[in-house]
Amino acid sequence: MEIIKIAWRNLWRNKVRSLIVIMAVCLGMIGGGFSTALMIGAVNKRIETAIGNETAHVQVNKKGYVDNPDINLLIDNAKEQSEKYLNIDEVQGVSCRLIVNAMMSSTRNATGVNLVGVNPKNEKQISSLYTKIENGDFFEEEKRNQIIISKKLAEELNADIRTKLVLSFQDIDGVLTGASFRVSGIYHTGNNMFDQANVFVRRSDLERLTGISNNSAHEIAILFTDNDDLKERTAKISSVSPESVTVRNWEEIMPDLSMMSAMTEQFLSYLVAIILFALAFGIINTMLMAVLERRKEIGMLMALGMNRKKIRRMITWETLFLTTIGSVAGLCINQLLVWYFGTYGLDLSSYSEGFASFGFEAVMYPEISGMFYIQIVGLVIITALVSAIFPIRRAVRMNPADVLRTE
Amino acid sequence: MKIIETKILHKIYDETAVPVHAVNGIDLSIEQGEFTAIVGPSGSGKTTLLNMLGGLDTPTEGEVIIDGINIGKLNQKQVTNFRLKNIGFVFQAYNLIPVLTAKENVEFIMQLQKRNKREREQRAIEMLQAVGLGDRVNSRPSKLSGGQQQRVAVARALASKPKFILADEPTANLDSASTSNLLDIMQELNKKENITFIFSTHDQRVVDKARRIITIDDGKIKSDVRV
Repeated sequence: MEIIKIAWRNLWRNKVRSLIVIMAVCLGMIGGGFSTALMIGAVNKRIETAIGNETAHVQVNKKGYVDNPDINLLIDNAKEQSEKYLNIDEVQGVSCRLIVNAMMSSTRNATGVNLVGVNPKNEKQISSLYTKIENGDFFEEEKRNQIIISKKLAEELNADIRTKLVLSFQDIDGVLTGASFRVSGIYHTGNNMFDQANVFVRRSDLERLTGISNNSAHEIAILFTDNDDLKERTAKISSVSPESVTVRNWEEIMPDLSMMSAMTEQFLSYLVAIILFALAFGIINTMLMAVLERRKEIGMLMALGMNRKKIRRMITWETLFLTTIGSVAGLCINQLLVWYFGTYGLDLSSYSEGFASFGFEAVMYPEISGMFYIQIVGLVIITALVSAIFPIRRAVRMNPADVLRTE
Repeated sequence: MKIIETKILHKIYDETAVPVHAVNGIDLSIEQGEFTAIVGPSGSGKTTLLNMLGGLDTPTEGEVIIDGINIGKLNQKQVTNFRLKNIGFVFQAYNLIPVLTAKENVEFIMQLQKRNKREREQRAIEMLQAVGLGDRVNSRPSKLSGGQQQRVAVARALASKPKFILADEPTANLDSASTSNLLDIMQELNKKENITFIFSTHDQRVVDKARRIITIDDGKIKSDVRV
């Protein structure tokens, strides 16, 4: 107890020096912690958006469709199949989609798109795209040939609500067909790649124009109640699916995103480790100065009968205090920042174009797990213990007689 | 009762091209309750001898036997422990722990000895009262004068209930009044408690109070006089 008391008081002998190191550790923790929270928040948001707007949790396609999205590669008996999926407890919603490649043109421009035919009611159960409508609505009116396009495409084609667009595509027999659609809604997800590629029409319109039966689908998208146990739930879906289809979850559909999620945590733990490694030099320097300044005192303590083990313990405590005060303060401030920006968002609109081109939203919501803090505290303690080694070696190697004689 | 005995004690510092014979064959015996001053010019070997008596330095040759134990045969850990239990130190530059109060400084050594808190506190206060600092127990060293700090150092040395106290130039940094006061306290403790004091000193005032004066020059005992 006395050793800890001495170590604590020793820390404040040179207040400015100790505070500088404590501040450095504190800022390092805020820097490392907040960038970690920001990155994890951004990646998680990207995954959430991707699942919510783009892929859902699982997609079922006819075998071969993923490699070659041919209009004839249809899942038969899609309605019965959907019922089977809906009977699984964890399934929240199912949507049978038709997808054809089309050329979309306005009076001003033309562009290639994925024309997705959806049942609005079912689609709302699995996709939050309807919440991303900035202008117009998501098939609220029971009218024929309505189309929902992205803000990005609307700008490119100089289109607005009620603008007529002409879509050309092949029907099920390979015959070129087409129709004009009126824009009823304009959406914006924040992911440029997605927005530029996808337009949505009622499934019934696309069935009529392509001749595809109402019991077929190119894709059955399934959303679970939450993100847990993805692999087990995917296996459940597979178990009630026929041999003729492939079942993929979002990690398989977007392996890049899945990898990014895994790599972010890895990368950020390296970042924090590097920050601590750099801080360790400052800590070593401070502790070494503290030990060399007190050579005579340490020599006296040894002369009085304080053994080397206790000297070691005293310096270790000093280093631990120096390091943990800064770390705890830094992590507390970090938690406040994470809470604030996690609630109100960190608006990076000035960089939104850059983020959007990678599929990220401009407003970021940092988040961090309790496990991260536990890991950081562990790393901090290791850093302190490692940093203490060198000053301890200098201290315990002193010969009290030499030290007391030379002063 | 013989408390310290040295046999043909030598200490040679070999760090430079010319080896220095700091202590050169000293045979010495000190009895319990002696109030001894080791005197001699600078570089005569007083501090080296004192360090060897305290187990802080190892002799190049010869033996230091304290209370029947040859401390040269003990390993570093044992010597440290031996010092803690048997020897009290008072240094020239007071050498208190600056971040602890007077009472905590005195208690500290007893804590190293693993004595219980109640005993430590009680004895620390008793010792500080014995050196006339009963009203300064909660002052840190920076708030005490040189003389007062040195008295805390004496209280600390006494608190560990040592077999003897080694004081290396304890009055070197003190004014006359503080020196006189400190010496009176030590002399009284010597007389009342039969505590053995061994000083290395240049100070005539210490020599005047000593009951045995050992003069050293060139690492050898030149005279050993009991007053």
